[in-house]
Amino acid sequence: MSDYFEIQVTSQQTSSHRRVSPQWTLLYLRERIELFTGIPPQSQQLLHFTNSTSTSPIDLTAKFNSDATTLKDIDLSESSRIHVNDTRPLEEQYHEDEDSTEYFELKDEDYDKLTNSVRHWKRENKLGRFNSDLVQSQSDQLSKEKQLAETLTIGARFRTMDKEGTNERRGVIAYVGAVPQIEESTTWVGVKFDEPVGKNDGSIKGERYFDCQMGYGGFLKPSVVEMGDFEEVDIFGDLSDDDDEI
Amino acid sequence: MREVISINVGQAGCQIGNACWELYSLEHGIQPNGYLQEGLTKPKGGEEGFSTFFSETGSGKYVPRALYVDLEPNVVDEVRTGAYKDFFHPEQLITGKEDAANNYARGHYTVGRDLLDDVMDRIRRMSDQCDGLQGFLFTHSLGGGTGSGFGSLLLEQLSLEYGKKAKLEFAVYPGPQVSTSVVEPYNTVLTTHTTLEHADCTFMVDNEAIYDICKRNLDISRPSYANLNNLVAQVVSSVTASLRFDGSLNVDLNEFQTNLVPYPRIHFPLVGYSPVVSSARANHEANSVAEITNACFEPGNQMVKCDPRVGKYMATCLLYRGDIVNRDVQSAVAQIKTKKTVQLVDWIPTGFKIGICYQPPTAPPSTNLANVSRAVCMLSNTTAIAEAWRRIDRKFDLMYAKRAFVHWYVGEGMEEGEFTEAREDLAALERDYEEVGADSVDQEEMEEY
Repeated sequence: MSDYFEIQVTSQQTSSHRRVSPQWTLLYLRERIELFTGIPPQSQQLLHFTNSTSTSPIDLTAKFNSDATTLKDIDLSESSRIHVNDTRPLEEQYHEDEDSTEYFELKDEDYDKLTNSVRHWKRENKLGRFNSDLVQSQSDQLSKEKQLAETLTIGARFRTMDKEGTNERRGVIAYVGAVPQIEESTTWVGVKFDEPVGKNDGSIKGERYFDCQMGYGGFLKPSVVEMGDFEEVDIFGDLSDDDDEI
Repeated sequence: MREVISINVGQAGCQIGNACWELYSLEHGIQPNGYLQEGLTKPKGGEEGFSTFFSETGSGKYVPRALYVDLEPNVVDEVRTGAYKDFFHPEQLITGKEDAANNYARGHYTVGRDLLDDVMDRIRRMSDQCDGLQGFLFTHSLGGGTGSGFGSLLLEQLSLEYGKKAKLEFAVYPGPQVSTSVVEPYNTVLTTHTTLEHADCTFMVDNEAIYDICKRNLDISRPSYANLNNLVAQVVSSVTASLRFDGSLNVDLNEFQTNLVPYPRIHFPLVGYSPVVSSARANHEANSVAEITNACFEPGNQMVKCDPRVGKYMATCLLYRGDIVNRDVQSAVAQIKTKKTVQLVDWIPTGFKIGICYQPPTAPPSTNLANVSRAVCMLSNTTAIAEAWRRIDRKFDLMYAKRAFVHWYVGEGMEEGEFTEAREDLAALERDYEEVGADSVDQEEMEEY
């Protein structure tokens, strides 16, 4: 029958519960402690806290100096914690050097060469950006948007609908061009809605493209902007239509 | 029959094993001596599923298909002398004389090597008793010496001898704040490198995350390993429930890999579990299907500290148990999918796989877990877990920059080159996760700004 029991052992860098035997000598305990704290036996100062609320530990190193002392003599129990101090000069102790350590990174070109990697698998199976059809359709979409953008005139009236072809919103085209604050590739259309049904005031992430009241401005893809003679709607004029929808 | 052999390695592995087998025995109505509880004529939950985890002797005694392995005797001695001493056959409990001293190299090369033949012999004998062994379920820690070193040695060997059989792991991953030993990062990186191509699916649990859950949800001010392991056992039990209980959509061990792992290296799903409630609070919680489903997607109920809200999901399994109505599950899942915090990878098909086992979870009397009528375990392959690798890799670098403690490993016959090889492999793993998260092809996302 084993009479092992668990104590807590802490050091500056570690905290763990360890099984110990009353038969162990103090020297053996020190040897064990080195293996997980990294502090060599001769440099350990062992402070014994008899329970979790104890604030005045017993210095085992000072009190017991015979190697033959067993843990039974020390009066360790399940509620004991031993804190291990490293008595070596600071420069000899192991310590992490967060500022001067260079973390290892696998260079992209080296990752690229691996044949047992997700990238290799994607490439082999034409997934994601390696799917040329998909990439093609994406770039087709982009150039289509660009062409559409060229047909739009700043200052012209427009309308836009949601995907179901309902929820019409009208306004004036206020900007056509790149908006890198959203993303690099697409051409965007800045618009001033007639009603506060937009998302901004003509600026995005601090960059101003046109002026309008907050909530009246928005940026849309050219494909959803229909330019034409869409006059401002009297919103009270078609209440009955709205009722139908509800 | 589709038997599963459980292998518990090292102190943490064996102690989690204890908690799991105690729970299984309660769930199936088996007494600690291996016989059915009084009044039962057969194990609870049906015999077919049950026999994947237990074998029956001629005398009506049931024996776990389990193996305990530790390089030193005393954790397993407690099994040999404890309440479950008659539950296991002495041959299932294998120990050496000298421990691995927190050193991967001792577990993998020197001390561990000596025990390997013995262990493989016992595994062969156990697998000979199976009609159709489907695979192995490992529990071990990544940071200790035996769990990391011997655990990976054994997985390599199983790959050699059992080729295609599924190998699932539950692995205790070092907590982000508190190290139990200074060499934890070395052991973790070394064992992960060695097992990366041998394990099919690895569920990680980090003690700090579980510690916090115990503290917060179970009102335990200073949770012990026993408290932590009881919670881990609930998770392991949920994962294995569909294998052990008849009636539930019978799941194969392989299915976890099929459903969760798009590419073999990316096999570390994040685990969430809900509800975790103490018996004192149980009566005040409603725990509807929607509530528990939502809860297991919250970082506070997950077994590894990382933030899935910043990652992308590749696949998710939701394993429900107890009083579950399919319609409630469907609407809970539909609701989860609309959440902005649950972002899916969009260049491969991602799925929500649902498992339902109608046997409710069991709370062992020795724990202060409440008996609840239903629970859910989430297994999500998310790129967020790369955060855990990044963390341990950096700790490794901090030490290796100074070659600190490397001589302990070299002294056991390990070549220093294995450190850099392992570290490079883990760097590639981090890259793999980046690559999974890359390539958004979703055009629908935001069309208006």
